[in-house]
Amino acid sequence: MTTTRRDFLRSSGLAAAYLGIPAWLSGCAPASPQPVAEPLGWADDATATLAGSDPALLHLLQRLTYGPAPGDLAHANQLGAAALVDEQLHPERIDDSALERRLAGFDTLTMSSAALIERFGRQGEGPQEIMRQLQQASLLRAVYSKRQLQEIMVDVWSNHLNIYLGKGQVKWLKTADDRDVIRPHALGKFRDLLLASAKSPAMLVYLDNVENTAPGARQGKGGLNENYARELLELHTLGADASYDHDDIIAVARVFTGWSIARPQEQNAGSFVFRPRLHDSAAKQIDALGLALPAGGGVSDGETLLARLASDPRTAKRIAHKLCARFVGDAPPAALVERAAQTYLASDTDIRATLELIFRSEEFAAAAPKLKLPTHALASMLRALGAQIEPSPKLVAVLQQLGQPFFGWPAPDGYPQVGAAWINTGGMLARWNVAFALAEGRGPGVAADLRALLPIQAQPTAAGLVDAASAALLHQPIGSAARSALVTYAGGAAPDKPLDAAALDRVLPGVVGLVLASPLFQLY
Amino acid sequence: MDHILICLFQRGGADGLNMVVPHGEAAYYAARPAIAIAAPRPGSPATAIELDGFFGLHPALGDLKEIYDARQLAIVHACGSPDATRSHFDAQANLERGLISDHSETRGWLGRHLAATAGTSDSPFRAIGFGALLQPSLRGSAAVAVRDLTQFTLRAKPTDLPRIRAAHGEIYRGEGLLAGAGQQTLAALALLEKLNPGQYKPADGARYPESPYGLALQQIAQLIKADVGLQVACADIGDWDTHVNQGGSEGEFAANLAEFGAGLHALYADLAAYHSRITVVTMSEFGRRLTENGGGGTDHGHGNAMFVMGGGLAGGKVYGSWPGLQAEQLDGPGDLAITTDIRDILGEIAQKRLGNPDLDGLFPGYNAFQFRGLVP
Repeated sequence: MTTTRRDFLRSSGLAAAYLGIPAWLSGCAPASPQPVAEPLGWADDATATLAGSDPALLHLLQRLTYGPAPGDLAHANQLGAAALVDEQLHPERIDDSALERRLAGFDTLTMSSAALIERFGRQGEGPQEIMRQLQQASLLRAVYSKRQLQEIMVDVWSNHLNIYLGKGQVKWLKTADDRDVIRPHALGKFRDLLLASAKSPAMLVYLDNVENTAPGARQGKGGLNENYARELLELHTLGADASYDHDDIIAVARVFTGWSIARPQEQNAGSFVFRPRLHDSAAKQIDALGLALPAGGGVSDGETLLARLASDPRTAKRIAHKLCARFVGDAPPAALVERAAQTYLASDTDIRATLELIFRSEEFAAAAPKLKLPTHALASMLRALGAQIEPSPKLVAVLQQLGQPFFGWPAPDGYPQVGAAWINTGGMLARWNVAFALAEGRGPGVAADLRALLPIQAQPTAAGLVDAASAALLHQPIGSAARSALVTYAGGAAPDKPLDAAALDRVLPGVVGLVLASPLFQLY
Repeated sequence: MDHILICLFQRGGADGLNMVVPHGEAAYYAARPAIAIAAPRPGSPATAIELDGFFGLHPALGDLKEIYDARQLAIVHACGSPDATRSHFDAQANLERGLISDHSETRGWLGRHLAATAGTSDSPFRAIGFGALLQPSLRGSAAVAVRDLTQFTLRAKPTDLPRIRAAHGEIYRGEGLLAGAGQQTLAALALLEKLNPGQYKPADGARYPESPYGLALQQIAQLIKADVGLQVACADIGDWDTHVNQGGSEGEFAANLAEFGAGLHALYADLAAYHSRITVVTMSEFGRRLTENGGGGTDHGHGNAMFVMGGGLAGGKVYGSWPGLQAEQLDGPGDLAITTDIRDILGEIAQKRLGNPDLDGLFPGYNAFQFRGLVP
């Protein structure tokens, strides 16, 4: 599809969105909101009252976050686009203490794998609590972290280096992978991320490298297991279309023999350990990389190989494509991918530098709307509502209904990232039902104050209510056909009659639910 | 009237050797001292159910004998995907993609079939997959993904629902990325409302297992009887990854198998008037190793048995050439070899039952189709 964002907005009858953001949402809002003009509608009113707000800023905010939360647009307006990009690219400079307080009760997040195995192991309570905390914390972070880009990149790498939480010992080990592998490197050097991932106990279990031993090293048992080697080349680095063959896979598998984890009865249970006796110490030749590893390299064989893979141009292309697909479009412009790959290589596999190039590109600015994947859709609804969450297993179960629980994709390729994979009737219905449930206050453990959210007078007209809801939740008009449907819903036969308190209570949740369920909200 | 394909996936790698037992093979009994199913002995319920003097059904599959005898059930043994992987994930993904090695293909083989025959129906229930996520085989088509039709409803405050629905329908009218899926969802909701799935009464003698699998089959039958234009339905049954404590004629595997067979029989009984319009096909990502392991179970293997059920099939027969179970006849680490590529079976069904001649579109790159005559 070659439609640009601009075309899309125009074809949806939304050109007025380019006129900007209502003043009362920006940093210089008047103390009390102005009544919405009737009957011209909010969009026309906005043209008269807005100055200096930038539609590109809303686009930027939509792409660098899980959707704007109340106040985010004002903050963005104050910073301006360049500073907003800079801020989000440097999460370490952002104070996230409010989120940290919400996570204070999640004690397993900071425990070592050894401590988790000790407390939740076979003699203990079982791993359910570990998984519960990890999944709930992931949702809380997506919703409440000020380091929104960091959270998006955590999601990107958690899928690129996918580990299924349900597989065997992974249940005890994924917490450390999330904390020590994915998060510290999410905006760092891909080479460091890849090396950390290769030594991640959760990955070693998930892709069976713990079973990968030099043939004959364990009497009558074991031998090479190619699973990690294959996925390392195919999914993590070079890509399936790169020219490597089965001999290369075997050689890579031999490199990683003996990369294992400490058993529960050993020191530092559940952490990485290199077992020289199980390692194939003979020389290795990986033709696809032109790499010869002399005999006796031990654990350094793997470290050399991973560094080489990370800075291979084919890997650069794949990582660049993945990042462009996430932030620009499911089929990103080839020229942008090429430039991003060059930046990745020139910057020594720096993810931050690559993202910065993408964010500052014309292709990014002109990107057409994308479908929010389910996690994104839920997080953005909660954010838009300014919802307060009382963590509950049932809220995480909502993601199950939507089809995208955290770390819930069994296969090593991670959740499908293209919108087309998610557009089906069951998925649509699930999104709608989540929208109506949240708006009606039926979200498990979720509270949202809709009256406080919408800058409306005591007795708004139906049109005023609808425009206020569009402004607060979409930050742009909803389009004329949808608008008139909403006005009919809220005002019935008398759309111009002020809604009294009882009428407002009756229709407010419906209006909010319909806006959240609308295509314009489900896209970004 | 449309023909209907019901595709059942045994997730986890079902043990075909204990499902359809090669009781004529001494090597089978030698390799499985603890879990083998005894050769048929009339009057002994813990022994295999005789099929043809060489193969027998696991005793938990007694329900299926009636269908086999009625020639509406065909079995193909030593069948499967030639893909050598023993990984569940890879094997399932590859099979559902139609054994295309290109991982960038996002559509499944059924999705490609549905896309190729899109002109034949515009029903919102043309294709349905039961489960939390759409089966990958159905990807690429506008299939409904649903866990339970009785839960497939738009939920809003009841007094407000009609007005919500009206406004919502207007909002999803028109053009745009989501309008099509939105309208289709609304059409499916409207159709289901008339159907009232909570009130369904199966025909006499049809008893669906009380499980997600049984519920899926019952709701597939209901959609078929309601004549909503269903053409392809997918459902899953799990827990086949029997590495430990598999059991023999009784135990975990037997209980799972009983559920599996009871579901097939319930479909057969419930849909008696529709047999000629229906093809049920079962598959699993791979079979299991011949030799039982130290934990009373079996590890990932290769070749497997599959069932094909429907009116007008040349059933009552075990198809496939038997590769044997001697050491030199086994595949890889000691597994039943594959002598029938599953694409031969699925291709024959697609072409001769579903009327889709473009097998290359379903299974690109495979051009060695050999139909086995299951569909006369």
